[in-house]
Amino acid sequence: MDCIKINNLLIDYIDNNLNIALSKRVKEHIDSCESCKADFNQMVILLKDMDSINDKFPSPEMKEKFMAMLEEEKRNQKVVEMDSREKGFVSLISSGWGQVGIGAAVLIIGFLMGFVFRPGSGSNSVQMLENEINLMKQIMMLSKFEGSSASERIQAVSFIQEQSEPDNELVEALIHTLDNDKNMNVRMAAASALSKYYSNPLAKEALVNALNKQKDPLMQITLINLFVELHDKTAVDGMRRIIIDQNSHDVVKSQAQKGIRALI
Amino acid sequence: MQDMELDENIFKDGRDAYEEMEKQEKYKALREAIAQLNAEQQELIELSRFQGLKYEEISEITGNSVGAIKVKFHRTMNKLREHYFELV
Repeated sequence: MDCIKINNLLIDYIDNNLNIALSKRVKEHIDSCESCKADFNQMVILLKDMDSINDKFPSPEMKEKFMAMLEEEKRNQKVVEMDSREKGFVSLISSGWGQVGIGAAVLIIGFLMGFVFRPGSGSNSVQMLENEINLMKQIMMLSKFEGSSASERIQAVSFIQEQSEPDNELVEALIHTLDNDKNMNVRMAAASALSKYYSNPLAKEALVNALNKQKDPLMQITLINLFVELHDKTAVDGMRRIIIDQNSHDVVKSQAQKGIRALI
Repeated sequence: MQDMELDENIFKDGRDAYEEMEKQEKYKALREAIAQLNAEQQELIELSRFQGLKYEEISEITGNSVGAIKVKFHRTMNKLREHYFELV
């Protein structure tokens, strides 16, 4: 079997989708052909990395570590001195959220310290710490939207999602991402995040509009499902339009029909 | 004694953070490699590898024949492999 045919079988071979006979022939070829062996090794790594990147962001270990550090900070709260909290923030920033350099971290700390240490703010210290962390997260999120990679943007979206009431600036960032991001994964993450803030009229309007604007079948299906979950009848018009549109894919049309039936 | 424990923890955190950062760098490289593909290729990767759809299902969604999809898919994966190993 020539190298081109083998190359086309590599992925199925790695996924274990080939029958025994074919598997054997691929293995024999790889063992004896240096260039195909090299391709094979590279493909193994590529597929493995693609599988792990497919897991949710941020990675579970990172989130666990952050939570543990948060608990640790809460426990250290009774010694409310500048020193221990500075150290806490620097280690929070430097571990796992990599993007912000130490210089920027110091600036952020300074900003937060100035914001938090207002005379006469009688709130309890744990609450203050949580507010500071939220603020810091928001600042980092805004900067991440200018970051180049899709994974960073998805991370930003998921951090925003953890806010119970993001301010309008963040909601608008989500809307902008939903409408404009080139990467469908990021748009889907933004749609899901916006659905959590459905009480916000801006978010609601953006999602309903997206049903008309997004032409990607996966996006359309995601949005339809969101509206059914949210019991929002105003989306029915958009769903009707999808059914009428000739360009809509059949699977999407049938999903829209189910959606309309569920909502009416 | 307590001081020594504290130092150890900081060191370990630093190592974990470094590993985490390396992982993130790798994923960034992979995402960038994917981004270098054209839109059709990216969709193919998304549907096939990330969403786990079979060729028949992808054929239904995109309207292309299963045969054409297989060819495009392998071509795309080879391209992706080239990009990725240029970056890493």
